[in-house]
Parts: sequence; structure tokens; C-alpha cells
Amino acid sequence: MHREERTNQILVITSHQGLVGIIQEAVQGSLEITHAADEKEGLEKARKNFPNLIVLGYIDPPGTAFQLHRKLREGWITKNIPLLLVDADTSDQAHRVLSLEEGLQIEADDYITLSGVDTQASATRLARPIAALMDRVQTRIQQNANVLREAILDPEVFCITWEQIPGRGAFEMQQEELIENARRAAKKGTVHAVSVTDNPGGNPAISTEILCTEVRKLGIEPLVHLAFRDKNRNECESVLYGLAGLGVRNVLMLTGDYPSDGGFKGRSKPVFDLDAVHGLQMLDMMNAGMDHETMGRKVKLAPTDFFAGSAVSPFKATESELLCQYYKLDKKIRAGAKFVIPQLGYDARKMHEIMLWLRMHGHVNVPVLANIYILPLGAARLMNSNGIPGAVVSDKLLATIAEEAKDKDKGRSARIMRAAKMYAMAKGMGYAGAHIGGHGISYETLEEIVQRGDEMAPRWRDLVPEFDFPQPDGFYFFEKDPDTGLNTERSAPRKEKGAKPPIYQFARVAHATMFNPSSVVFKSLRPMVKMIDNSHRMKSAFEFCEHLAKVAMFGCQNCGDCALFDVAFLCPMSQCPKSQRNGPCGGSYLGWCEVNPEKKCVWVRAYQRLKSHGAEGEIVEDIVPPPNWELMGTASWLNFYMGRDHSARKLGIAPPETKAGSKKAAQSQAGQGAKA
Amino acid sequence: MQISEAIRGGRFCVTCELTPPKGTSIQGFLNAADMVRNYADAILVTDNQRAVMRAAPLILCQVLKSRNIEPVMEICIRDHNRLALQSQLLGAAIAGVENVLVVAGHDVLVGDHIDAKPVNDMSCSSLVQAAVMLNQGKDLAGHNLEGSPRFSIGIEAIAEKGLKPDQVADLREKVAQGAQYIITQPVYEPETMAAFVESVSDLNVPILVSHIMLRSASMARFMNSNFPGVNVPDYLIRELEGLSREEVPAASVQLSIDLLRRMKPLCQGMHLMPGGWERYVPRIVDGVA
Ligand code: SF4
Repeated sequence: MHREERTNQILVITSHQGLVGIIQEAVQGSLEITHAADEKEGLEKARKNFPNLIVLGYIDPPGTAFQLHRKLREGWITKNIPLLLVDADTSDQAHRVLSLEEGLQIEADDYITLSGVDTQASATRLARPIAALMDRVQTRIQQNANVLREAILDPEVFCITWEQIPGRGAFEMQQEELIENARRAAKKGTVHAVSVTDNPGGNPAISTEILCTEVRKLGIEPLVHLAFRDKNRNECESVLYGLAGLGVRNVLMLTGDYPSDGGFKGRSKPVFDLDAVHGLQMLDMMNAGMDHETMGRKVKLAPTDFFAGSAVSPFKATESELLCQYYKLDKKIRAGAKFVIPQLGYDARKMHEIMLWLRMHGHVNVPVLANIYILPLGAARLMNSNGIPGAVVSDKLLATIAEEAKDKDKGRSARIMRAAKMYAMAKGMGYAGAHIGGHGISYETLEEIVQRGDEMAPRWRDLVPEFDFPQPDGFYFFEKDPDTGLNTERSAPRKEKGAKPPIYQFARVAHATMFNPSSVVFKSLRPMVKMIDNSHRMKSAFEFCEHLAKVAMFGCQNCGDCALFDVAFLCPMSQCPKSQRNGPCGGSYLGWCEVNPEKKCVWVRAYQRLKSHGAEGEIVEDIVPPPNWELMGTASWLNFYMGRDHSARKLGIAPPETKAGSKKAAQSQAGQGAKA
Repeated sequence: MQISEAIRGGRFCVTCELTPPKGTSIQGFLNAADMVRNYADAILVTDNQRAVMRAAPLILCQVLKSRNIEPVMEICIRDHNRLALQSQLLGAAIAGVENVLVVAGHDVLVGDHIDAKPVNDMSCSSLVQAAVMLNQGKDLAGHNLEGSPRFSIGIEAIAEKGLKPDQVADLREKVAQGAQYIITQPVYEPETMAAFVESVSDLNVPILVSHIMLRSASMARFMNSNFPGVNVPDYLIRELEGLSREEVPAASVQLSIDLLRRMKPLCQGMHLMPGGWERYVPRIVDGVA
């Protein structure tokens, strides 16, 4: 349970034993009391236990209570914990909790003096202020509740999120508008969260994390987009701690578009250290309270309270792309995605497909927010020419919008109507809400969409024919239902051909013999490999040879934590510009890579290879961990045999007894153990 | 400039109180003085206030004077005998101090030197009398002085609703001795202030209402239980209840302004006791003006 959900913890800090008894008497067992007798213990318990209320009485020597009160008020962890100062024993002037001068500077939530009253009467007097403060704790928790989470999870509520663009620069109109929009949204109440994209389009922009903390101050829940393009795993973790510390809890985990060519002096280095599946796993660990080790001491970090979602791009024309998208979505959900926002698209059958796919694959309870973008002609043209990775506008839709743009209002009412209709369909199809975006959209427009959408929702089925914009020969997961224009529950035939290039066949044979721990070859080779591993010279020679061979065959980048086995013997480090280990990014187009359109997406190739022997379903099975950079530049075959890489661990290959193993190997093993 | 003169000139007088450092570093004191100097007619420097030992006000008054800030020196009968009190006053006059506030001081038991010996050689009214004599060129024992001060002498008073006859008599006595103005304890109810003003109206001296900004609900309750004669009504406390540390100052400034505006017509000036919140003094003074 998250620590803020415990609501009956009270910490009494005083060196005056009598007060503890009085408080016990006052709360009559309704609250759990912890006692700390001095300043040090008090601070420690306040920080660790995170009580709902702190009662501070006299502490030896005089002046200590005031100092402690200051520390609690100014402390990062304790600043918001309600604090009650109690003067219990006033028979003795010198042992009052505060001096007169101190008393004028206190910032506690309440102060009470029990001068000259006996225990019973004191308890009676204390009961009221304690109850009042505990009430306030309850209200604070309620006020602090994650409105977005509640709205998404509540089947009765249709959740609205409003997407905003942060903008490059520090003092730009985009930021002005964003804050103004958030302010209005906070005041009006239709919108449950304001979401801010993360360096959209791979361009640098003002930090979404920082803007989102500002948005939260305005009184509306922010939804932070976190793209793994620009941050490595440590930076992601660090940013997330920052957000947690400042009370921002909703995150949308995304791979991210490739960095644009508009960076400072050229294109930025793409990071992609983690993929969205890893990010979700990490967040899940953080929510459970991450274990970590400092100076040989194991500690569990205080749990965070994140609510994370992820994306899926179902608007894919080919079978391989679409299947891989859903495989990856499955992994995301297993990794902890609590809701899903699909990529943009204007195809009712696809909208319906996602919901049906989730239902047919055991994910009935995963809420989906429809992605509704108010589409003007310019953006439509851009999307039509695949200018926004993964966002699809078919030729037919473009022609319709071009026609509408000739209207007197330049197509404004038509595009708002289109958004409202999508809203209505989403509502009808059982979506949990709508994620609404659009350039320069005012709050009024947003409300108009919601209002009209709500009106049209009961007859949403009539609207389906207006959203019949398939991609030419586009693949759908299910067969079409001619009556509704949507999908039946029957899977569509999958006719895409498998591929079995010679290198693939060779690699499979080699794998089955040499990299199978139960094979004779593996067992007999192991002692020799151990020998090589222990000799510095032999090891370097081996590393060199392995690298040459693997560069020639696979374009190896020497990461040392080989993922060839996981991606049908295609190297995700070199063949996928985004190093995706668990499925494709959202950007592929007609099977081609988003970044490198002359090349097939590595996941399309992997799918086809596996399909050649009916094994494409394997893609969904294991979540492949991110590469362990400790192994960078080492020979992955040695790492496999010596039980150091992720594949060895998956297959249960234990490292050989450490006496023989080098010190480094033993260390790296220990390091991995903690991370696994 | 004498406070009593300023008031006689017909303006609403603003004084602001600063506490000397506990130690020798006066930077904080000077910073505080700079924050309020343009918003107050004079700055009062306290004398071991609430029985907490601090640097001597005399020297800080001199520092203020050298920076062209008008000082008011508090002088407390608890810590000095009649020799020391008079010599302090003469010293202050040499430093250019023209305003003194005579106070009784808290019991040493509430302060930070509980074993100190309270002197209390003189009463407040006799100290007022002594100061008047110094003004006239004589010391308490009747000896002539070489050069004499020109103090404007103030006294403190608890402003309670039902002022008892002996309290009024005490004030009357001090005024008869030569006290020229009264600074009250903090008052948080305009009705109380009105009643107090009414009961001392025949003394015919100007009254300054003093004010401590509310730091938190707990601080207000602390004052209610520990400062005799101070009563912060519940409705004010509720305004601050549940506010975060960051939200309190703005709310508190507003409460101060509203309250002081209501009391302004009743008195001739106000005495602010910011106690570390000097940065809010300008907003209050502007708000009340
Ligand atoms: S290879 Fe596929 S997954 Fe990798 S960047 Fe290209 S489109 Fe995305």
C-alpha cells in the first residue's frame, strides 16, 4: 500500500512520558501511536514512517522542541505532515515546550496547552484538536487524490485529457497558452488532466516535467509524456523521482520520435537506452519501493505513486507491423501499463479493433483513451505524406478535408464536428475517455467537442460510415463486419509470407548446437571457454575474432549483451535505429523503418523470419531486458557461456564457480543479481 | 524627531520594532532595518525582550542614528538598578536618542536565563519620573547635570476590554509623571481597542496600537494561552487553519491590513512587531495607509 494511504499513524515526540499516556487516552485506540523520546529519534521516525500526524511535546533540553519543529516544517519529507504542539506540564515554567519568544514563531498546525489539568481532563481536551487534524488529513488525502487515475478507472466517468505542446524556448507564446489553458481547465472542471508532450517531433522543447509541476500548482492533474529518446535509464529514474517528490504522478511512457535534424549544431545523439516496456517495469519497481544498495547496506526506497500509461500504433497497413504492435502492447500491459492511448488515426474500424483486441486477449480491464486530434488541412497534408511518424491520414480523408477547407470558415466547423464524432464513437465503443489535442485549440472549442460528442454518443453507430478511411490494402486484425462496418470477432487471415534467408537458417542451426545449455557441444566447450575467459590474451583474441565474425554476419555493435536470439537473429542495436528490443516503435510505415525508409523495420523482418516456421508468436513471450552496459565491448559468446548476459540468465546458465572466475566477473554477476 | 511631536503634527504614526542580535553580528538587524526604514517613522529597539538575553539596545540605537534612522530605545526595569538605568538614558541621549519606551519586562522564568536575578529596583512610573528629571537637568538624587536630554517618554499598556480601576490608575500615575504616549499590547479585536481608548480618554495622550502578524493558527493559539490580555478571536485563527507554509504570509498580511484599518480611526499610530517578517511590513503599511 502506498504510504499516503495509511491514515491512522500518529507520532508522538516528547521526552515527557506522561504526554504519551495522555495521547493514548485521548485517541482511545483509534489511531496507531509511535513514540520517539528525543530529537534524533523523532526526526528519523517522522521521515521513515511518514505518519499522518505528529504531536510534539517538551523535549530535553529546553529549546529542542522548537528546533525540531523548524526541521520538520522545512524538511523535504515532513513539510506537509500536520504538526500539533502540546504544552503538557506547565507547573514548571522552564519545561514548557516553547519559550514565549519561540511561541511567536511557530508554524505548526495547532497548539494546545494543558496547563494545570489532570490526565483525564487533558485527554478530553486533546481529543478534539487531534480529531480535527485527522479530519484535515483525510481531506488532504482526498484533495490530493489522483483525479486522472480515478477518472480513468471509474467506468462511469468518461475521462478527458487535453494535450499541450511545450514549445522550444523559455518565454514563448506556446508556454503562455499552455499555462493559460491549464488555468482555465483547472477552473472549469471538464478536463481531468492536461498532458504535455516530451520534446515533440524529436525537437528540443522546454522540459515537460518542469511545466507539469507548474500545471499541478494551478490545480489540475498533469500527464507527463516521457520519451526514451533523450534520456538514459538513470536520467529517467532521476526525473521520475523529481516528479514524485513534487506530486506529479501521471506518466505516459513512449519510445519517442527519432531526434530531428533541428538540434543544436545538428541532430542529437539518440539515446533509447530503455524502451517503453522497460520504462514501465522500472516504474512498477519504483511504485513497489525499489531495493538498492549503498555502502553494503540494503535499503528499500519509499514507494512512489505513479500511474503510468503507454501507447500503441494500430494504424498499420501490414500484418507484420500490426501484429508486432499488439505483441508489444501485450508486453507493456504485463510490464505495468495501466491505460493505453493509441496513435492518431481516423478509422472507425481501427478504433474498434483495439478494443476488440484487448477484450479477446485477456485485457478487458485495460482502459483506453481515444486519441482525437482536431485536424486542419496543413496537418492533414503532413500526416498524409507520413510527416508525423505513425499518424495516418488516408488520401480519401485528405481529399475530404481539402474540400471542407473551401468553406467560409476554412473548415473549422467541419473539423470540430469530426472530432466530436470521434468522441461520440469512442464513448459508444467503450473507451475510457478521450485524449484531445489540436493546434491553438481554445478551452471553449474543447468544451464544444465534449458537449456535441456527448449529444451524439447514443447514435454513434450511424457515424461509423463517416470514418471509413482504410489505408490501401490495409491489414486489420479482425474480419470486417459488413453490417456494422466494424469488426467481427474472427481473426483475419494472415497471408504475409515468411522469409528464410540462408543466414537465418545458419544462425538457427548454430544456435541450437552451440548455444543450447543442454547440448553436448555446449557442455564440452564450456571448460575450454572458461580457460579462454581466464586468460587475458586469449580473451582479447577471442573478442576480436567474435567481433569480426558478428560484424560481417549481423552488423554487430559489440554490446556484449547479445539480443540476436531475441529478435530472430537480427541485431536490434545496429539494425534498429531506436534499439528496440521488445517490439517495434510506432513509426514504421508500410513495413519500412521510420528513421531509415530504405530499410525494412527490423521487427517486420523478424516477424517474417519467425513466421517461416510458425514461431512469430514467440515475440510476445519474453520481455527482453535492456542491454547491460557493463558488458559493452566484451565478447558476448563468452558472456553467454560464463553466465553473464541476459540470455544465459534466462536459460539458467550459472556462472562457473567464482574461485576460477575473475574478480570482475564475480562483481558484474553480483551487480546484475541486484538489478534482475 | 520626537514621536509625541510627530503625532501632535497630526499624522498617523508608524513605529516598527526590531530585536537586537543574540551575538555580535548585526547584519541581520541592519537588513531588517533597511527593509522597514522607509515605511516607519521610527524603529524601536527592544531590551532583553521576553527575558531573552541580547545585545544592548543603546548601541543599536546609535547604529540606527548613524544611518539616519530615528530610534526608540526600550528600557526595562527588570535588568538594571537606578544607577544603571539613568546612565543608560544619558548614554542614549549622547547617542542622539530622543525616544524611550519604559517597560516592566517579562518574568525571567519565561526567558533563556532562568536563574538570573530580577533587579526591579525602580518601578516603571518612577523611571518615567527619573527620565523627566533628566530632561530637566537633574538626576534622581537631585544633582545637577551637565547638559540634559530631551526624551519623549512612552509607556506600555495591556489593552483589555474591562480595564480595572487600578490599571487605569496606574496609567494615570505614569502620565502624571510625564509619560507622553502609550503603546498597547497587540490587539486583535477593534471593539477591545475602542473600549480601551474610551476608558483612558481622559488621560489625553496619544495611543499606538501594536500588532504582531499571525504566523500560523498555532502561533495565534499560543498567544492566547501565554500572553495575558491578548485574544485572537477564532474567526481570525480559522482563516489560517489548513494553509500551507507558502500560503500563510499572503493571508496573514491581508488579515493584518483589514484589522489595522479598522482600528486606525481609534488611535494615533501603530506599532508593528514583525519578529522576522520585516519583508511584509511595506505591504502592511501601504495597505493601512
Ligand atoms: S527499425 Fe522499426 S522499430 Fe526500429 S526505429 Fe525503425 S521502425 Fe522503429
